Amino acid sequence: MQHQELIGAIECMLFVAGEPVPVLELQRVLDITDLELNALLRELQAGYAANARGIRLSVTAETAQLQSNGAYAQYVEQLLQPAQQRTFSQSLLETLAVVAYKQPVTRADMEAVRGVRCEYAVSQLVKLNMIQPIGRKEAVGRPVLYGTTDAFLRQFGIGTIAELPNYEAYSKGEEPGLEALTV
Amino acid sequence: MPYHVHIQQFDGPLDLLLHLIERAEVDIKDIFVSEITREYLAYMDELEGLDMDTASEFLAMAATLLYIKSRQLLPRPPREQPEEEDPEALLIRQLHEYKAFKRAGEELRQLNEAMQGIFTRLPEDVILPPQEVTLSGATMQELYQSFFTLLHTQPDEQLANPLHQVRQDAYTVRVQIAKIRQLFADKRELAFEDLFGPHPARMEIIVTFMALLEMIGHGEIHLSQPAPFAPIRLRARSLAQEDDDADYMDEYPE
Repeated sequence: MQHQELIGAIECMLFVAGEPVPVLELQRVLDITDLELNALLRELQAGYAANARGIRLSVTAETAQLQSNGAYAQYVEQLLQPAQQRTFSQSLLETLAVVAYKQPVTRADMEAVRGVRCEYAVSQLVKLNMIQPIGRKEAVGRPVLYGTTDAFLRQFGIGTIAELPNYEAYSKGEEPGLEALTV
Repeated sequence: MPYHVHIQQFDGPLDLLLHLIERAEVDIKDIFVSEITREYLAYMDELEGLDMDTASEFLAMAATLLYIKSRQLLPRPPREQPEEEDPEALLIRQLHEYKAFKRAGEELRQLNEAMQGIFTRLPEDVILPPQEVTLSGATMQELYQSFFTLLHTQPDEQLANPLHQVRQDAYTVRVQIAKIRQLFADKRELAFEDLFGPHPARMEIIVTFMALLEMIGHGEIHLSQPAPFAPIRLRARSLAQEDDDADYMDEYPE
C-alpha cells in the first residue's frame, strides 16, 4: 500500500470504530510492524495538531482513538448535548495520584501515604476502570499490586505515564521544586 | 476569629495535621516546636461525629503525637533497636509525602478538566440486511381471510376535526353521578350496560366509570360480578342527594 493510503486507511478505521482501537489490531489489518504503525500514527497525529482541525488523535501504548479538539467544545455543546464527562472527588484523585506516580503499589502503600483506609477508594477506582490489579507483591499475605489502565491515560489526556506532570518529582514522593529530603 | 473546619471535612489525620500546620504558617519540620499537637488534640472532642474506623485513625495519630512529644520532654533511654526510624522523622516524612500527593491529585484534576471539552464518537450502528421471514402453518387463503375480517370489523373512523376548539368537558363526574342516581330511582338493580346508550362516546364511558368509583367510594352503590367476564351488576346502597360541597375527582377543590 502506498504511504498516503496507509494513513487514509488508519484514519478510516479509527473514524468508523469510534471506540479506542487496539494498535495490535491496526497492525494486523494493515500487515505492518509496530514501528511502522507508530510512525504513521505520529504523522497522523501531527497532521491534525498542526492545523486548526476539529479532530485530534490520541495514542497510547495500547490503543489509538480519534477525539474532538477541545477548542471547539462550545460549538459541540450548542449543537448537541453531549454526555457530561466524569469528574472525580479530591480524595479519589489523591489515591489515584499515588497509584499513577508510584505504581505498582499495594493498598497498604496507598494507605501509608494518605494516612487513611483506602479500601473504598480502591474499589471505586477499579470499578471506574482507572486502576487494575497487575500482580502480587512477594511479601507476607501476597497483597495485590495495582497500576493504572489504558482508560486512565485517555481520561487524563496523556499518552504515557511519563507524561504526568512533574513525574520525576512525584514518583520519588517529593514536592516538585523541593530538594530531596534527607532524614 | 478564624473559620473552624469540622473534623468531618478532613480526609484523615494527615489532612488535619497539614491544615493546622498551614494555618499556623510553620514548616512541617517545626511541627513539634509549635502548638500543633495541642490544636490537634482539641479536635479529639469532635470524634463522636465520626464512624468507628475513621475515629480510630484520628485517635491513633493523637497517640503518636503524644508519644513523640513525650520523647522530647523526657530523657531518652538508650535505643534497643538503633535501626528503628525516629517516630518524629517518620511523621515529618509522611507529612511531606502526603502534601506532595495532595498536590499531585490537584494536578490530575486539572488534567481531567482539560479533557472536559473533548469528545469521542460512538461506534456506527451496523445496519443488518432485511431478514427473510418464513411463515409456517398458514396458507395464502387463510391469511387473506383474516385480513379481510379484520378490515371489516374496524369501526368507521371519525373525520378529524380540522379546527381544534377548546370546549368545556362534555361529560363530568358530577353530571354522570346525577344520571346514575336518576336511573336508580326506578330500579334497585342495574346492569352496567344500562348506564349507556347504544353508541356511547369514549369519554362518556370513562367519566361514567369514574362516577361509579366515586359512588362506590362513598358507599352509595355496590358492584358485583357473579363470574369472571359475567355482566357487572350495580345495586343501590344508600344513594345520596345532589351535594354541592362534595369535590369529585375531575373538579378542583374550592
